Amino acid sequence: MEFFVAVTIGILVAAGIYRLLGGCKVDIIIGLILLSQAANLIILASGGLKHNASALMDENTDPATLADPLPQALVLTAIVIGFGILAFLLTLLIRPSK
Amino acid sequence: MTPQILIIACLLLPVVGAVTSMTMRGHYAPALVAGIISFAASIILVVQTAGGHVFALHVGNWPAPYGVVLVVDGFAALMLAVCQLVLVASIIFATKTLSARFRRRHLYPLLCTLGLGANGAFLTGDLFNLYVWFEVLLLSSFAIMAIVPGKEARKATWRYVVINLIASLLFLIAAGLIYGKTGTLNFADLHRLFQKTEKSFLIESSSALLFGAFGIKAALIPLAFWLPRSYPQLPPAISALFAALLTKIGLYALYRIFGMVFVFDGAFPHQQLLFWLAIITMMGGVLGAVAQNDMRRILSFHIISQVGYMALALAIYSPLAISAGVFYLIHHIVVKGNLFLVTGLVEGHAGSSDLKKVYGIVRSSPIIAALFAVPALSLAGLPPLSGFFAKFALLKGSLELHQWAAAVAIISVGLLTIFSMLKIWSAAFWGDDLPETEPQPKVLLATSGALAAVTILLGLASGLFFRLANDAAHTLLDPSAYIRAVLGPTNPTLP
Repeated sequence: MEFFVAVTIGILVAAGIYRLLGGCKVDIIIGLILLSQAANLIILASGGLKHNASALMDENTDPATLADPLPQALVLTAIVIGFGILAFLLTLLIRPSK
Repeated sequence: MTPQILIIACLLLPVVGAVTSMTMRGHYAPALVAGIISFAASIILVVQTAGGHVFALHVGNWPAPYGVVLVVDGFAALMLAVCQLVLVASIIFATKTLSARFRRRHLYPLLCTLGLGANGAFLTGDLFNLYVWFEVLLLSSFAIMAIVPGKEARKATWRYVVINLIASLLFLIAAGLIYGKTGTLNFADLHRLFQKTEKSFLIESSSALLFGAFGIKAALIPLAFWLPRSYPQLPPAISALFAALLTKIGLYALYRIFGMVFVFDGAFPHQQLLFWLAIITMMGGVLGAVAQNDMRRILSFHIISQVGYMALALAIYSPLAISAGVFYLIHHIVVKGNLFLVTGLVEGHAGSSDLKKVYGIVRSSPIIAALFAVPALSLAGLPPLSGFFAKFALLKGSLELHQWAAAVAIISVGLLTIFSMLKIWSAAFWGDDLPETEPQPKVLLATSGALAAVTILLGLASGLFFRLANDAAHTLLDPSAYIRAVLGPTNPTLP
């Protein structure tokens, strides 16, 4: 599981940087989106990946079988911020030139 | 008032100001009032934290390493106070000098949220939370920049937005990696963890990402070329705020993260790199300034050169040098903001900031000339103004550790700064009378005069302010009080 996520992050970063260096504004925006997705995956993977584990605490369950809830909270924040920034970038792109 | 209430006030007031201003169709009054009250609150915080006291607010009552914690120590309180001061001055200038377009597009709510992001970045005690505050700050600054009309300004906005987003992504990736390696993002907890670690090797790759992110935001030289291409496009009321605050918040993050958190055996990762980059930044910035012919552009290059001084103070990393660096930050925010505001006065008075078109302001308006002279001489480092004491302490700190290269750079860059200030002075202020001049509103002269008075006060009462800076530096170098405030006296251990 970690291996595939790591490879995905690598591909996303490579593609993101390639697009970032493309030069035109749409290229740069696509590059930034890909890079921010890579960053989100890094945060999600940083808590350790567990198959089919929930992040909800219960007194009876063994904490070792649970997923770490903090990276999930962090990645939600990061996704929302990334979404806002994407909206702003697109507005910059389409705003009339006068 | 307890410090916890003041911490909340510093974060809540800008929000209230922004919302009230929006409901009043972007009126400036709520923003101004919010700025003034948060300034008062931060002054009380400076008094309460003097002597090395640290106060923490555990938001939502979550225990420390798990929940977000807001911390105020001497350094954060001082930065809060000067930040509010410049924010208020900039709002006053914006009301008088900017067109109705800016108000229609919600300049004042955006200035409030910019202040909110800055206050949050100073107060937070958590790496990911710092990222979020940076985003609040950045998005507000993006939106403010996007209001400025004109083709050049649009290009500048685009450059500024893209480079800052890349910096934010580096920061975000670093935060993720550091959490993966250490299992915590709390500053106090990270510091405690690093004290026990023998090798900094594993953490160095992540801290290199942080170094790059803060380096771009603080404008260290190989990463600084966005700054002189974007700041001169902004109207002076706004560029004063940006110049005074944004790069300095990058520096604050460098001080907080590398000066306090990522410390292994009295040194932090990439210290030698920061040392040489700082010297290159000082030299490169001031040489860039010498080649320019417009007040806005000269002052923008001086931001870079001065950032070098403050980064150098961190890289020398002795108690005296860090105190000098904290004092330098306070002095620089006031002085740099004021210089841009005076540029606004010169533009309003003479119609341009191009040194080839402006001359003879000493004759037509001696007040503006005096208002320029105080911060300019302070920036160059002439006694008895604040810049002299900042540079002198930094020089003493570098000589104590036999850092000859740093000492030479401090003195020679100081001389070149005087040279380029004299260039502005002899071109814009001396010479024949200008054919047409506009008298400037008294409010603006008074605002700029108040900032000049603060500069003189920082110089004359430098003993007092240096003691405050010294306390702040001590909390950075020996954060035991910080850790006690955040994690509690018992030092709970992580599972």
